[in-house]
Amino acid sequence: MSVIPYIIPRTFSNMRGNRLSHLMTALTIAFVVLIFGLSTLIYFNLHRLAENYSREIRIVTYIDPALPPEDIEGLKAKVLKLRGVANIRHVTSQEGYQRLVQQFQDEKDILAGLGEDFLPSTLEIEVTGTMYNMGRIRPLVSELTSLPGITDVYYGKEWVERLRQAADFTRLITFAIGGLFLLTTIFVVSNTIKLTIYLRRNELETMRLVGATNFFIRGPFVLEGMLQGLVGSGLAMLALFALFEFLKTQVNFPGFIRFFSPIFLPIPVVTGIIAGSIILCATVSAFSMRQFLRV
Amino acid sequence: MDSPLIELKHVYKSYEQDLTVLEDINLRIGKGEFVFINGPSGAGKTTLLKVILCIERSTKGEVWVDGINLKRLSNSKIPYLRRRMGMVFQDFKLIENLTVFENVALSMEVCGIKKSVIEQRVDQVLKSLGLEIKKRIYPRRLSGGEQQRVAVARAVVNDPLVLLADEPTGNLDAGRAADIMSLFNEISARGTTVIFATHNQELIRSTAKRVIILDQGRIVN
Repeated sequence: MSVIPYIIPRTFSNMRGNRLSHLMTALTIAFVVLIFGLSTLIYFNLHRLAENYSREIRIVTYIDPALPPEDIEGLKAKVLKLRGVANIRHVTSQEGYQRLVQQFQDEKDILAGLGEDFLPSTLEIEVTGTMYNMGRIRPLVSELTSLPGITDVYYGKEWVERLRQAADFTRLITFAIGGLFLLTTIFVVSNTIKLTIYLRRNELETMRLVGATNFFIRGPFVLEGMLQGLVGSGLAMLALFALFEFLKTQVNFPGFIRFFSPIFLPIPVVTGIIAGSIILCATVSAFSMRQFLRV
Repeated sequence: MDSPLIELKHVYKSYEQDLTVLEDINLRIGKGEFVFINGPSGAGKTTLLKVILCIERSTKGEVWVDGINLKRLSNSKIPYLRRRMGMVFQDFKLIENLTVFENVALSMEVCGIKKSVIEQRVDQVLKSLGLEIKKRIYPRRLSGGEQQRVAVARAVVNDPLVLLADEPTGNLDAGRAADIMSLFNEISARGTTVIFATHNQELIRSTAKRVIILDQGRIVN
């Protein structure tokens, strides 16, 4: 014997009887999930962008011109021993000059009068996969700076760090919106349930008197909550996808991120947001019933 | 009476320190018995029924129903107890947005009984109460007497051990009240224990059933 075949039709008949309130709840959930989703999408893409550029980080160390050429091999050996260094390449002054010549092929005049050895020789350092995190690169940079024979270290930290700071800030905003989403959902769903309970208090009272279990009474409300979560978050994800597709064609990315192609939230994240909304709404519904179900 | 179906031992019910609604109630009701609970308004009749149906818990004393001590019955088990009892209320307590059939079927649906069984049984009960042609109608379109018959149908559809009625004729005229009374007599004749709370002396005088008189929360006869 199972009461489930009676709970499902009761859920739909309850929702039909209280259409407006359920619609408003679903739309409110949709709105909040949309904002949460948008923030997650921005964070996700900023994080990707930062990751991409972090992978291209090369640490460039400038070798002291006074360092005798025979000591350069020793310096290379010392650098290679440092944690996080994957590979190094010694770029001599002449190689550096040749690179510049290639870069300024059309404006050779810029280099006129400069000797082939005006650039210091450098060591170009590739870092290992685990070093992409900025927090881990900093100690390596300090160690390099302290090595005798190295005058300066450059790793394009400013813009990569700014990107990371933006990603971290967006993550904070996403958490804040997540909290707002949680509170709004709790407030809206619990009020809808309470309103429904109030409107149908006589019916629920009668059900209790004829021997309905809490599961039988609570079931349709929890299902209603789950449906509201599903409809609200589903609508939000659809709207977010439409917004994303629209913005992708409208926004021109500036400068160095011109070649970055933003992507929509991955399926597991979308599924997670929808599943989370369903679980949250169902839980709030179940809790809102608790007071009423006390015998 | 060897083993009573319902037994109350020194039962008290109070809401606040000064408001005692039931006081030292001792009562034994046997299987198949028809008992009237009589007394003026506020005598404690409804509370007594509520205590038996476990809508209210007694403050002191023991209430036994079919061998179950209600004091020890957990909240989660109460629905299962109620399924073995039928209750008819003065205000019918029918659900307005359900048809006659659906109202009666509700008592069986909460037990998880199969739809085909419910359809057969509800049709049978509605037919026996002369409500077959009204089964698709909503309660607001029925007369008071008809609504009370639907309430009785809902209470007996699960073949309860005991049928509790709280002023079931209170909202009906004399003719309709007599109809409902004879309906309860029929149900009792089939072996169901009936506890019928009423303040209507006329109704009691017309039968020769056992009468328990309550006054200010105490049994006085």
